[in-house]
Amino acid sequence: MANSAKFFDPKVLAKIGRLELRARMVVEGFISGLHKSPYHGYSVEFADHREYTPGDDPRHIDWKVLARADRVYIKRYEEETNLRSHVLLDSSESMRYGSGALSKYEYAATAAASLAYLLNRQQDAVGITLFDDEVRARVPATTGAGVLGDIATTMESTPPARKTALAPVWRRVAETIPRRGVIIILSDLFTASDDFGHALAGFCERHHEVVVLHILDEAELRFPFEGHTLFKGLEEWPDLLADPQALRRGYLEAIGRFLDRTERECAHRNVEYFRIHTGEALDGALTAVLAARSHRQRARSHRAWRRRR
Amino acid sequence: MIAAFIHPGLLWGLGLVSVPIIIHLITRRRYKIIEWAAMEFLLEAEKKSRRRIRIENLILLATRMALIGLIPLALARPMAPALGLGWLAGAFRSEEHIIAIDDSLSMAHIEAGSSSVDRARAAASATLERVSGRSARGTVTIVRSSRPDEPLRRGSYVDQERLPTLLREIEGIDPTHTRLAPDRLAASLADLISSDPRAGRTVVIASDFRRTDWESAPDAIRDAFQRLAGGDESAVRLLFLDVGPRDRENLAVTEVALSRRVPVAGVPADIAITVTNTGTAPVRAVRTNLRVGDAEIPGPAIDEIPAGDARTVRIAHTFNEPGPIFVEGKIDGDRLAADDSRIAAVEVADAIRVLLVDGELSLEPFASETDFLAFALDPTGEIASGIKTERMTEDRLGAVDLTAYDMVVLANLYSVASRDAERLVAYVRSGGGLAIFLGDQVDADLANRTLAALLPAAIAERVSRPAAGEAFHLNPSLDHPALRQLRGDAAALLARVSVETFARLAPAEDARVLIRITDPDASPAVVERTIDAGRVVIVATSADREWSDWPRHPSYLVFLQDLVPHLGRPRGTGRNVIAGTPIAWPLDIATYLPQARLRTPRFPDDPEKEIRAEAEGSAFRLHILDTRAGGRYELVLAPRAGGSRVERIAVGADPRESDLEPTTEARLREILAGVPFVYVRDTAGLGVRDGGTWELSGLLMGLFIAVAIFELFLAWTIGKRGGS
Repeated sequence: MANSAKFFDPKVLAKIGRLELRARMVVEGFISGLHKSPYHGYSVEFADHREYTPGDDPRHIDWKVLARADRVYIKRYEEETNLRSHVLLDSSESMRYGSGALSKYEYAATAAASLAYLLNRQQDAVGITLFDDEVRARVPATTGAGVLGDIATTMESTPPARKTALAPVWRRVAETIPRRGVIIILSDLFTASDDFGHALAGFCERHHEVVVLHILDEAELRFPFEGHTLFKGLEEWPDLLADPQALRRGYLEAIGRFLDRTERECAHRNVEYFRIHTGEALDGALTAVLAARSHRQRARSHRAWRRRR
Repeated sequence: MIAAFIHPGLLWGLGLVSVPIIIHLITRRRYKIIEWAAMEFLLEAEKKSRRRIRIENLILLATRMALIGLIPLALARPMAPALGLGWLAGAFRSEEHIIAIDDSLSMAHIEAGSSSVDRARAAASATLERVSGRSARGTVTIVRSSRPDEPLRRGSYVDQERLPTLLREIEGIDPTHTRLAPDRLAASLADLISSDPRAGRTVVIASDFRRTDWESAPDAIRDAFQRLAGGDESAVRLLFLDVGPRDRENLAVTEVALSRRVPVAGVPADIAITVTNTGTAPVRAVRTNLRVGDAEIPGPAIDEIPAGDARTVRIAHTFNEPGPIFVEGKIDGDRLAADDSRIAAVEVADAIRVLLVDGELSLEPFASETDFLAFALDPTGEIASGIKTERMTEDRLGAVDLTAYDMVVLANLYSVASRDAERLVAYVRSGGGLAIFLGDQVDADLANRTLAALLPAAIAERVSRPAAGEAFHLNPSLDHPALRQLRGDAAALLARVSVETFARLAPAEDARVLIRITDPDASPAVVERTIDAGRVVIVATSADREWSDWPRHPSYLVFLQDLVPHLGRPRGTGRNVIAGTPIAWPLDIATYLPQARLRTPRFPDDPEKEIRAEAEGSAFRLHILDTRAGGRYELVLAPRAGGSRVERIAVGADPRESDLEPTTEARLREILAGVPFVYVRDTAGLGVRDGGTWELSGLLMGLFIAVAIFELFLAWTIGKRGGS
């Protein structure tokens, strides 16, 4: 049990340079059962039943249903549902900040890669879009074995550098995802307040399942600075020379309002919202996504079962 | 509000108030750099709190500057005039009274049963009692004018416990024989004040304010009092308390002198007593008395001494024994008894030693140049002249110790070697007497060059009486001690002298002609010049009969016997000093042990005191530092050969102390222009000044603590507000 934490400890992960390897470590640790998770033993998700047709793999016959209903049904799994997960990773300049072992971008990228790897193992199609004030790079959602490598390579070769613009970018991305899927957003969401709501609307209107992983640095949440400091603004914000202690209370109030606003916006749009800071273990991110996915799965199964009845 | 600082030098520390500003500026230039993503929220916080932060920082900075500034301010110990809210200041009050009492001789004058110093003491005592009754923290400094650098008491707190001691010390102040020097007194008081600057001082000078003291050196007095007043009346209040008499009539013995510079045992001498009337009315029937040693000798009465004038009586006396002796001239006592007698210390010689240097020695009787001189100075007979002569030729002059003689006579010398001329100059400067007689051997040019520093007159051409012309005689030209017996009718004695040949003399500017020749030019015959302590006389004719027949005339002997004591080295140098002047008595430790016993005028009431000689270079001296008391001082020396020898020194008052004419308030204000002072004649006018001063250190330290607490609270509040 004690050893499992190291798979998710950002300080440990920071020592692994390659994103793909980092992601494998997280996922292996997660799946191997060392991590205590309510989703222990989680594997490929059972989705629903369909009638047996000749040629189907008899290993997938649901014998319980046969016993009960004296009818032969085949279990259908997620992979057969064509679930697509789209990871949206914020690669704007603000994601470059980091006070700990990993910057926000590195943490988010690791989480994204880990999710991609996990989903790919479960036969889900997964793709990634990197954005700042426009789409910076894209890997279409596929189930192929090589997609993790593509995703990792794309993230590693796209350093965070520009300003953020959520609404126009996300709307454009939404337009490129015609089928419903899971949208996993990893971002610090440092944008104009109305920009975020409009951005989410693009996905919600298309009935995507959206999971927002609000990635922040621990220092951004606690503002522990002391001594005269020149804060150099990223994304073209102006610099400020100030005594951090004098501004701490006001800053925490301001960022608190931002976090409340963001969370409320997500709740309003029925979007799963998880706030994660870069000091936390990475399994939190995975747990959040998988919990949301599980919730959706159960909701879909229930609807399908009711239809068959 | 702040009147002065006790330690103003510490105010440099106020410059340290800039330290917080400097630290602030340095801190602002030293900062960390952080790239920050959540700048929007930081800017929002900064915008909302910008003004508040600026005000807080300013208050904090000002508080820290005040904290730092309060420390040097408190350490400098500021003083302020008394505040009505003194209890609020919490500082103790500090006022000082400086009482300077004039203890000069004139303060002994008695009028209406009390002396001026009695009135000064009473005023001082009254002031002390007032101060003790007003404040336990008042201090007093008591100064005597005769020793202003050594206060009797300095900064003594005046409370009921200390008051009796202070009053006794004031009662012990008696007049001395010194003279008041107002500038020296003011300078010493200013030094006292400057060494401990604080506001709130009252300086009382109790004096008889005589004109001769206060108007003698007006510039020096004004400068000294300006420094004392310091230009701030609130800091130093100056009170002049005039305790002088209203009646200024006074007689004083102002001089006791001998007619002979060298009194000789067994030779009659006149003792002159001069009595001065410094009052405004003539005084009649003044009786005089003389005391020589222990012998009282009634002196002649003076019929009248006009106001502002002096009269001298002479009393003939023959000293029996050689050695030091006191001579005292007295008159009947008046209201200022201290100046009704004056003592002089005289050293009576056993003989006046005269060296005769003969330029033309001969074996024949009265053929040598100095034969007649020797006979005239030390004639045979029962009555001694008091002069002992020794003769030598000019070639031995270089080998003789001139200091063994009281006088040297050069008679018809061809020349004097340069080295001997230098020795003669030193000899005369130290008090020796020199007489130069001319003759046919004298080379005028050589003499004029060699003896230029000594000659009372340059020697010019020789003049001889024409064969068929009228004879040249001698004529006294002024009243001179050497001619005292040749005045009036006795001047005819000189008129009988025939001068055949003489040398023309051109007297120096500072010389005087005693006797002239009755030639058409009234040429100088005898010219005298004083050179430092010594005297030189040149005679235009010869000492023998070659150029004149003077040696054959009785006036020759009379003149020479009066000339020698006049020229001879004075005895008793340093034996008569003015009161207040320290005495440094040279001691030959080869002859005497290096310590002596001192008897002051109060002996035997005051016991003898042993003093040791101090080395000053190659010489040793016995020092008597305190001569404020006039009268007889004796040093009992211990010769190495055994026995004892008593040296006598007379200390007398400055005769100007006897002039009681007071100055006026108007004249004082004129002299002390720009110096504010209060002039009172009544001790009731002496008020203890209300208020005094407050020392603010306690208040400032309390303020420091309050500001420190405020700074801590403010820093904590700001820090707390900055936290979550």
